[in-house]
Amino acid sequence: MFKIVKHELKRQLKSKGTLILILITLVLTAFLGYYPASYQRIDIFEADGSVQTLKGVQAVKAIHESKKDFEGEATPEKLLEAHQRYKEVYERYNGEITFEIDSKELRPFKALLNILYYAQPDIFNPGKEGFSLYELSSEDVLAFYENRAANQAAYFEDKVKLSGTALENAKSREAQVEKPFYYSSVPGWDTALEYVGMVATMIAFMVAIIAAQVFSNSYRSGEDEILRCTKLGKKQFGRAKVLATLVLTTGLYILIMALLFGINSATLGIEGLKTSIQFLDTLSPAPFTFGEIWLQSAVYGFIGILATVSLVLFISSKSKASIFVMALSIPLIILPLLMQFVFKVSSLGLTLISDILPTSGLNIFYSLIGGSGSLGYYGAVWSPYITAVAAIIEIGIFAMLAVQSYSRHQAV
Amino acid sequence: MELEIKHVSKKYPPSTMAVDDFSVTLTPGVWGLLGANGAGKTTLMKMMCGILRPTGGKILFDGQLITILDEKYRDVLGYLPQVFGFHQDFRVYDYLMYIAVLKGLAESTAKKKIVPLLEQVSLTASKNTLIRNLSGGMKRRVGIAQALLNDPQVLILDEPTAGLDPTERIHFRKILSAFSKDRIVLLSTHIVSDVEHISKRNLIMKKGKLLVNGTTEELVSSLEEKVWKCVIPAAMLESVSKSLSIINMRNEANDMVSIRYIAEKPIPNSELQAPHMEDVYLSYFPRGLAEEVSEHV
Repeated sequence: MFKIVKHELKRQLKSKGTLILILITLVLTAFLGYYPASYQRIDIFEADGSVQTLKGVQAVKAIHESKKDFEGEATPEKLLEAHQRYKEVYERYNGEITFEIDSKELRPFKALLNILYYAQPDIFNPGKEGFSLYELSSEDVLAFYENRAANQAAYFEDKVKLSGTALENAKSREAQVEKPFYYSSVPGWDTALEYVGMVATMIAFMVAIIAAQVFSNSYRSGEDEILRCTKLGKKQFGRAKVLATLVLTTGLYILIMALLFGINSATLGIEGLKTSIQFLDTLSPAPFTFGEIWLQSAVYGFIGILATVSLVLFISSKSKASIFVMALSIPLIILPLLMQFVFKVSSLGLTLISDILPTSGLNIFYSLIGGSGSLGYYGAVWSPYITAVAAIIEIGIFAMLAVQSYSRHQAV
Repeated sequence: MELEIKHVSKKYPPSTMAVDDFSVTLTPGVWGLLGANGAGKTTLMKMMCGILRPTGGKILFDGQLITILDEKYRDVLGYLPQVFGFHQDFRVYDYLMYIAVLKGLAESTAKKKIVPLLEQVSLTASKNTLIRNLSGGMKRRVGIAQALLNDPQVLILDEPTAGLDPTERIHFRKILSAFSKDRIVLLSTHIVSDVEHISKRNLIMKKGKLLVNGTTEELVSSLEEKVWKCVIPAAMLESVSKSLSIINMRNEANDMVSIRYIAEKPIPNSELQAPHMEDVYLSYFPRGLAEEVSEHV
């Protein structure tokens, strides 16, 4: 069996079309890997009044350097220090904080100031007046974690309307969030996290095109008639073809994601990976760091891609026309994205359908964070779990159906 | 060893009978399968290879259904389809290694088999050539090599000589003759001379049915004293073709035509000819020549 898989893998890799696809995907991944760093910029205001603008990787380094002093655990004391320094600046300039002042004086601890919005008690109370960071009391700043917890509870119950087991589960996830939050600057990493899904979708397109041809092309060329008459040419060969395609997909996925991570790390630095995701979405109950979200997005993407490939293999085992298989597969890949972002489906049934589609795991980033909008609970079950379990089941079912359909195919 | 085809039929919806109640028992030796296009030869062969399910009847190898034998049957089977493709990025040697693995051969055995096989089909010099760069005839020789790779006991070849030049065809016949000892070889062809001298028996199919099953000698002897040759004016050809079964013709000088025909009673000035297998074949499929005659006239 493994000998056939090895030969089938070699066969797939010998295809010029496959090699061109891989090359294109690698180039696009390199571009997407570098892109979050490429648009970073920082203005350095010199003592003589001149401004030096740094861009790209240089800017990333400068941003890290400027925020170094506030790196580490965002303890209440550190939050208070940031708040007091903000108040001093505010008072010194009579509340008129220009971009230059902001850059020169507030930049090092700006991220800490941003989360202080939730230090204000009862923030979701409709009768509450607008938020003023300057007027925020030191007591409230020191009670940031307690006040955030209260605001989060109100958010869960009143805004997201969580109740029962779902609420309990959301709270228990929140309990796993490490506090104090950890902070290190993350220039570009927020975009990089979103790009994991984009790259996974790109890989899905690539492997769908490869998988579409696995059975269809040999049916069309007539090669299949010879192969099918060999001793191991039916069920075993069907299994080997499916397995080889899944192995190839795995190899390519690891290679491409390693490239993406390598470029992200080299250009954005790895310091930000330890930062709590709450610096991106303060009320999120996700007990993860930026690095963990990156990794999980990649893992969910991987499962989603294997499910997609299995589905495409099954369609390929049913048709002689690989173009038809591709034409059918591509809408399937983008369907969850269309449902989520274009049609903005909100009914529970349609959201569930969207979540259990094989390609749903490709863009899981927002579901993983689950802070803004829906927390993605179906009763007691968190949507990424549903997506992952559905995809794992689909991998097995579609792979089996593909083998069965290939074994029963008739050379008409 | 025998391959038994029992009342096998293949019906395509709504009512096309590609193969109609076909029965024959194949024993070791070369069997010629002759028939016009659409006679059902390819469909029959595909069913014998287990890649197309019959709608009726059964196929047994040594008394057991080939569907039950499954892998065991395919282990002794070699098949060359009429129309087949290759993965275009394969080189000849790599392709044969790939097929060898699927035939369950160990790598060392495969290597030992491939080298002499390439020699046999005159492809040694092209073993590292990409299949897509081979000529049609060379591709067919690769196809023949793959079919022989597992030393099959049942070899089914659908139009194996299509695209081969005359020298290659003669060479192929020699290979097949030598190979067929103690093996069942079924060979379908339009080219009667491919089977005339090497086949043990010939099967002639028409509209899905088995019309004739006999040795070359038996079939040829059925036309004994019925094949004639004569030279007639070209102007007479059309009227003569209506009453005679013309199997061959050639333009001669002075607006005359030499014809070879089958008839119980000859027309005047005809010479008796020794019948060949081709005469037998054409006697069953005369329509094509009748059309040629009308075109000629």
